[in-house]
Parts: sequence; structure tokens; C-alpha cells
Amino acid sequence: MADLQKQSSFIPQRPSKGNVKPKRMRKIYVLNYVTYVIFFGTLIVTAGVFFFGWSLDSQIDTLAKQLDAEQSVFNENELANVKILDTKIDTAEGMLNNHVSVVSILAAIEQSIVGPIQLLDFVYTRTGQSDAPLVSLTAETDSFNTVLFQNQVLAANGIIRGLDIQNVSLETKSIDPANLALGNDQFVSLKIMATFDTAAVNYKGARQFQSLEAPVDMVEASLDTDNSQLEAVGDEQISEVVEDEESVSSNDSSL
Amino acid sequence: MGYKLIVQLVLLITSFVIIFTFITPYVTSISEKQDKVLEYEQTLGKAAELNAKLNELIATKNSISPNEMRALNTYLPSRIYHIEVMRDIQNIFDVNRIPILTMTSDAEGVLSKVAVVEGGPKNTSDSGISYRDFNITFVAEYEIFKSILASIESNAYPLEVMNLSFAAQDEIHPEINSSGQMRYSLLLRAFALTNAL
Repeated sequence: MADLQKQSSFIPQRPSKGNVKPKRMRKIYVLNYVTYVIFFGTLIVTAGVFFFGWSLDSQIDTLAKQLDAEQSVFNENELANVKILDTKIDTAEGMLNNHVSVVSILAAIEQSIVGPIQLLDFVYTRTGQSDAPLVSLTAETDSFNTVLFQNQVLAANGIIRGLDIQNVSLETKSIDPANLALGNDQFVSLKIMATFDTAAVNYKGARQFQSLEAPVDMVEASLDTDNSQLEAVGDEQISEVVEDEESVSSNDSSL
Repeated sequence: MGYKLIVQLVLLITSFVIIFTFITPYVTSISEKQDKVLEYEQTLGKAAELNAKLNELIATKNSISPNEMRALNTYLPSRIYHIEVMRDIQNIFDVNRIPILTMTSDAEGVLSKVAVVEGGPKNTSDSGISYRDFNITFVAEYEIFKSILASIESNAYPLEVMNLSFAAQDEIHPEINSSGQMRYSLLLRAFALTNAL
């Protein structure tokens, strides 16, 4: 009975071998793939590098041709001419900037010499083209006060860069006791050394300096007006005198 | 299996051979070529810039009128024609109706370039500017003397006053002063640009 129950069961007593497929194991060769990747990668890189190098070569050729073209356009003689002209203009400009107007120096000295000062000699020296002009003046005056005042006036002059008063001495022309007592024959001699600012007294600057004389022109204009007024007054007086003379003469004639 | 391993080995060896015999040297040459390209580009840029600048300068040079160029060449000649300078000085005095007592010309000299170095300015080399000095003595009234100086200053080429002296009392000829005149001693310098480059 027990055997019948066992035989009538649908449940297989053991797994059937015929229906189960054997599990297939795929072997992956990593080294194989790596090898192919390296090989084909190398080939691709080789091709890329080769084409990149080829394009660089052609680029260099193109650039070299362009450079040759630029070189053929370049004119060395024209460059030399331009350089000569440039040097010439620069040198001329430098010379013009250093071209000193001695007239403006004389004008400045004339304006700055005040008081009873007698100039004995004048020496203007310029050692080099770019050096500042130096003026040496020997003068005589009546007193030390005049020398001090003169020093102040010269020092206030804007175009004088350096000022030095040397060899100041008190001297006597004669030893007449009467004149000595009055101090008439005494005089102070001095030497004025003045260095001028080249920029202020150069030929271009001198023109600017002359244009600064506008206030002087105004003063001169006012003086002219005063003169004309004086002349007018003078004319009136003259006409009055003439009239008086005429009246006197007529009186004389009548007499 | 053995065959595949051999193929792989051959491929690997071939790859490494290609890398070391072709790619590595070629990459080095490529970097050199790239440097060369950069250098060429920079040089080409500079050359183009130089040509453009030169063309601009040539245009500027050509825009200078012949009169201006003549004035520049007169102002700064390439050599000093001392006889012409002496003639011009005499003309200036003639215009002012003042006779020249003496006029002499010194030997030609060359100005040296002054460079500021440690310890002060120092003459370094030839500046390319030559000069010649002219010594003049004359007798004139002070106002006429000033007009002569003004004429000299406004000359077409620079005649630089390098030395000037006069005295209220003439020790050699005192009679000069009695007529309100003074004896003037003048040193003028003329210039030329002998070497512009």
C-alpha cells in the first residue's frame, strides 16, 4: 500500500537530468581586449600625429611664404631714409629748444638793473649746446644798499637760475680830503654772475617771454595817453601864450 | 590558446615599437614644429607691423612739402660750408649797416654724446653733429648791436652765440666810446648733421 502511494505521486523523486541545460561559462579574456585597444589606439594615434605633423608642415610653409612676401615688400633704403629724416628732425628740434636768444637775456638784464649802477663790461659764455648760458657783469655803484637791492631784484627775476655777486669792494677814485669827507669819490665795484634757465631764454621761450610783456605794453599805453593829455594841455598853454603874445603885439602895434 | 597569446604578444610588441620609434619622436618634432609655427607667426606679425609702420612713416615723409624739407636741410645741413656761413654773417651785418672789423673761422669739431652715468654726465661717443666756430669783432651802438643779434637769432640756420663780450670803455681805442659805440667780440657756432645714422 505504501509502495502504491509512492508510485502514484506526481512529485519526481529525483531531478530529471535530461531537461536541465548545462550552465555555459563565457570566458572573457581582458588581456585580449586590452591588447586590441592598445594596438588600434596606437594606429589611430599614429595616424593623428602624422596628419597633425603634416598640417603643421604645410602651415610652416604657408607662413614662410608669407614672411618672404613681407620681406620682399620691406624696403631697407626707405627705412634708412626715414631714419635719417627722423634723426634730422629730432636733432633740429633739440637744437631749436637749445637755441638761446641773447636778446632776451639782454632785455632781462636791462629790466633787472635798477638804481645807479654803471655796467663796465659784459661777458656771455656758453660752454656747450645744452649748457645753461652764463653772464658775467662787472659794475660800479654808489653804495652797498644799491648792491643789496640789486641782488634782490635779480634774484626775483624768473629766468635767472643761479645768481652770485662776487668781488664786492669799496674803492676810492681820488684822495681829495674834501671829497673823501663827503664820500663823493667812493664807489662800490662788484661782479654779477648769473646763470640763465635755457628753457626760458631759448628762441621759442623768448617769444613767450616777449608775450609776457603785455602789462608793460599796457603801462606804456597809459603813459602814451598821459603824454597825449600833457601834449594837449601843452598845446592849450601854447595857444594861450600865442594869443597873449598876439594881443601884446597888437597892443604894441597899436601903441 | 597558444596562437591567441602569440598574436596578442605580437600586437603589444608592435604597439610599443610604434609608440617608441614613431609616436614619441614625432610628438617631440611636433612640439618643435609648433614652436616654429609660433615663432613664424610672431615674426610675421612683427614684419607686417614693421611694414605697416614703415608705410606710415613713408607716407608722413612724403607728406612733407619740398619747401619744408628744404627749410629743414637748410636749418641742419649735412656739412658746414664755412665760406657760405661767413658770407651770410657778413650779409646780416650789411643789412644792419655795420662793418665787421675781423671775422675768422676755427677748425671743424664734432660734438660728443653726453650720457648720464654713475658719477655724473660723461661724453660717450660721436653724436654725428659737427660744428664750426666763427669769431667776429665789430663796433656798433648798443641798439644796433641788439638788432644784429636779433637777425642772427632768426637766421635760417642756427648760429649759436657761444661767447659775447663788450666793455663800456675800450682800452685799445678809447675814441670808440666817445661816439656812443662799443667794440663787441662775438663767437658764433654753426652746426651740421654729418652722420644721421
